[in-house]
Amino acid sequence: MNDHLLSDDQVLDALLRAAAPAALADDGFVTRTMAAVDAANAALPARRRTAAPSPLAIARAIAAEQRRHDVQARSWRWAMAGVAVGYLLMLVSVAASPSGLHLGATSPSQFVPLAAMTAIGALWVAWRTLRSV
Amino acid sequence: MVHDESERVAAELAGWLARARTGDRHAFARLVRSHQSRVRLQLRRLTRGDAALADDLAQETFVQAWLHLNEFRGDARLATWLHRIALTRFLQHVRRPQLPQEWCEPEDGDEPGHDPRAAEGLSRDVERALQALSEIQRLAVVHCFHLDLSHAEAAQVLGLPLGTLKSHLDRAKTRLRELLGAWQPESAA
Repeated sequence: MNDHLLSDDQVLDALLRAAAPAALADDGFVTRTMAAVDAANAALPARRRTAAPSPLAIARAIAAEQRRHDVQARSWRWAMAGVAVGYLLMLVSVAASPSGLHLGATSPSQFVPLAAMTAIGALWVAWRTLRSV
Repeated sequence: MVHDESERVAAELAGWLARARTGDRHAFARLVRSHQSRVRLQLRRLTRGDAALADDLAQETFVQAWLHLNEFRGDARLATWLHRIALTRFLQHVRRPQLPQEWCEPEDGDEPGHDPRAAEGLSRDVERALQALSEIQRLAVVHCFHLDLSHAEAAQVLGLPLGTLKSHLDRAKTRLRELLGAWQPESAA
């Protein structure tokens, strides 16, 4: 049964393939198409190429980068100096206080000025760092 | 022997394709020459026999192929890719995003532009039998049997799921078997 159906199917397939239209002759189609291809090529915008940078432009870019680096380094040094001065001021103010300098921590409130100064210093460093980026 | 010949042709096509990708227009002209007939036949079928329009669309198909040759990944046959571009160009021409839904409906009367009297014998009878099919069934038959695409390739070209294409093809063949009964040998009929 299956063989019969398969054979029937194959016969129909062969009929349909045999009835395929004949191949079309070129008749100048390729020539016309290639002319259209050439026209399409001509209509394409010229490819933009990035020009190689001149030595002068390279030198200017390096100098600008060096300047940015110097500014950043100077900002960092000022930031560190600010933190050091802040600590120094704190120590001086504590030493000059009427009760004198106690190294032993007797109450947590003694840490408030230290924490405040540290916070201010940290914020200042952060602000300078962010500005220099 | 036939296998060797088809391998030789495939290797030759691959060589032309590689050269065309580097901008060699002569190699591309060879590719156009080797594929022009099947692309024009496909478009004549899609345009319902309007040869002038089919040739214009075929020309645009090859220009598109030339401009996008580097996008051809090579995971399908070049012929399949060209047929797909041709179908897309046709759909752009008729301003449809996909095959028209009404093409799935059976049609009455002869397809305009196809004169069955122009064909002889078997071809004439098959052409007449094809008129009894819906457009989508006819396209499925034409792509699989006249353009010699596999089912998967035809489904890819027509933008249909493989199962859908096979079911269109099955229905078409059932109808064609009835209509072409006289051409079938006694043992098979």
